[in-house]
Amino acid sequence: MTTEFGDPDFVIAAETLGEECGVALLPRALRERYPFVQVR
Amino acid sequence: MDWNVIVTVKTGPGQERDLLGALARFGRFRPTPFRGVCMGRVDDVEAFLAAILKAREAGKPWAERVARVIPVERVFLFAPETLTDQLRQAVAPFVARMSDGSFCVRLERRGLAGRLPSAEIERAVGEHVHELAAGKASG
Repeated sequence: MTTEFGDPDFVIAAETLGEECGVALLPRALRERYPFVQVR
Repeated sequence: MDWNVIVTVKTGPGQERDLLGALARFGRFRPTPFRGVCMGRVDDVEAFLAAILKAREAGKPWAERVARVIPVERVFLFAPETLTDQLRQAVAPFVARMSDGSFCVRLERRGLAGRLPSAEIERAVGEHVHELAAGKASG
């Protein structure tokens, strides 16, 4: 696998809110189907 | 920690309150201490995302207030000094679902300013994913 920041096949997202953390695997297909599913 | 989606709200007066009211039909949503950030639990994430998309296509104002949605699969409490290790463990199951290709790790920090070196954590977790993927390929 390779690291890519532009438009990778998968984004592993970690979202912290204070001391809680949620993790997500966001494949490109999901991000394309729902354009509002995106990380900064 | 009863949440599986984060919804961020476009900036503007009353936007968050209005959006929270609209989201109530899909699950239990609540504001967070962080401006423009709501968390919630929905039973069917895919259906929730599809509903937002459909509402946007129909021009529903509430759906236009949505800036971003992140559906999360696992939530845990952490201490700043152990977040990297906890993330390494939390993302390990993802590797089996990642076909060969490209990826990146993104950490969106809210709170704990100065105590979470985001870039360093992203790099460490990314290296761990590479190691796990290499093990998967060779094993």
